[in-house]
Amino acid sequence: MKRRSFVQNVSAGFMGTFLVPGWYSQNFFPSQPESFKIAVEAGQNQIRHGALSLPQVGKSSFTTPFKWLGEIKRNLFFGKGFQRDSSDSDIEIISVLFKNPITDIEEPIQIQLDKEGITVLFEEDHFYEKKADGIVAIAHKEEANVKMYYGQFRASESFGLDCNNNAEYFIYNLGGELLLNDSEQLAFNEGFGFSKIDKINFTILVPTQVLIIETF
Amino acid sequence: MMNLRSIKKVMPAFKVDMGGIVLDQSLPAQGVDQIDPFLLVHHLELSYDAGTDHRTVGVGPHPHRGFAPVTFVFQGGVHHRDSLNTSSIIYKGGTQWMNAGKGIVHSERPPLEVARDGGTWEIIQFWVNVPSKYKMKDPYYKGLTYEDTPSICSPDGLVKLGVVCGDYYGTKGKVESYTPIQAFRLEFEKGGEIKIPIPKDHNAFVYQLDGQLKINDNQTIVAKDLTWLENDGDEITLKALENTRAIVLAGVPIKEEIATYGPFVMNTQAEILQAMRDYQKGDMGQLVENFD
Repeated sequence: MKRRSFVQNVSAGFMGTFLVPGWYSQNFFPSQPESFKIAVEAGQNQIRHGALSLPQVGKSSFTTPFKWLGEIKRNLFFGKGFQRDSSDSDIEIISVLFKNPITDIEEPIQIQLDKEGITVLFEEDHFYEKKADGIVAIAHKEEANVKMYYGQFRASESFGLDCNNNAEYFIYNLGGELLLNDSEQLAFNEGFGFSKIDKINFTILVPTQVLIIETF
Repeated sequence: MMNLRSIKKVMPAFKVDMGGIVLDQSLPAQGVDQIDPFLLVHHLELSYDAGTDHRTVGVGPHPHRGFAPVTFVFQGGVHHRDSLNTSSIIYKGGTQWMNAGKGIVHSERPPLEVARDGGTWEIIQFWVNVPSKYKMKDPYYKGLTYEDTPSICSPDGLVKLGVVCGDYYGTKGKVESYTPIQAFRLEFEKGGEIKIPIPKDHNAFVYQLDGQLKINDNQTIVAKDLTWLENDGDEITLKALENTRAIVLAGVPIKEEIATYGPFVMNTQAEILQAMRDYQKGDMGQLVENFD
């Protein structure tokens, strides 16, 4: 499969980190895995009514070095309609604008997190998995060459994810704090993209949950 | 012979923050998720200084699906714009009745002159659920001015009642709803008294914007109280102890499981996810606000 280059308009000799205003930083190490970090806008609390704002297909100017990864929005919907609910009727929905690498069509993936599990709506397909410690596969869309995982870890745990060197990975911190490959600290609501990588090591600093998207 | 309904519960409104706009919410409340078919009652009163930019105030474009958001305008006006290319301004005394159906994107802002010249914007918005078989119907909007709203006066001449939906002793409202709804808006001068018929199979409540009322010559209710009525009678009497404005809402319960999250009211969480997706795909339409 042709390896897609996600580095555009950058000198091959460039080394080090630079900040693109407001959105992401990229690390270029010609002999090492390529990577970038983004900050996802902090989640909005949605009471009943709310003023929901979501990017629409074809209308978002947000880009990342991964052609398939667009704008991410995170919203917490109060089940009671006006405050957080101790009986856990609240749901969190993460909306990801995903551009199908095969068809080039944008799809707004919805990932719902509730107390017990994760539901993914990808095109017309619903996927559901219960939460569990470690990494759980939550969706696989073969026709879009994408897999998604949910990770739930305790403090001081370590985990290694074997990767496909031809695939691209996006790790999104849903809650907590972790180190990736012993060097990149990922805070709450930050995401990190890797490509050309054989393994991603997770070192968990505090109880943490992550979303992992893999395209190949 | 008519029987008076007793009071089930008095629910004072409390402040909520709706995306930076602070308003009074009386439903949903602690322990009361809905008064089927009514899902929400918001009371908003804002004052604008002269020279306010009308494009930046109010509530900007947002979607809805699966129910009817209804706005009673009490002061100022509301400029409603939507993805059906509607641009409608309704002023004091009027109503905006929208059925979101399968999806609509709309905005609700004070009219240009209210923002430009300064003034007060006061509305009640309430949500009416619709049965599942109607949730994916085509959306529609109906604007009703004060002049277009059928109204009656009480026998003592001190109470004006506007019939927005339903029937008040033969005076019929101009809005048609999917299920039987009584929606009345009342203005009392001090001392005014009126009887309100409420079919026994309707869930019902009174919400007061201000003033003081006595229900059934018995209990006093005050500003920003929502008084939920038992289904043990078929009428109430309301008497004003001061000048008062209030609304009375009643409706046949739908009795379906609901999933109500943010701006969407459906029956399952899967349908909520679908609504999110459809909104992002543009299936609920687009609203580019025209401020000319």
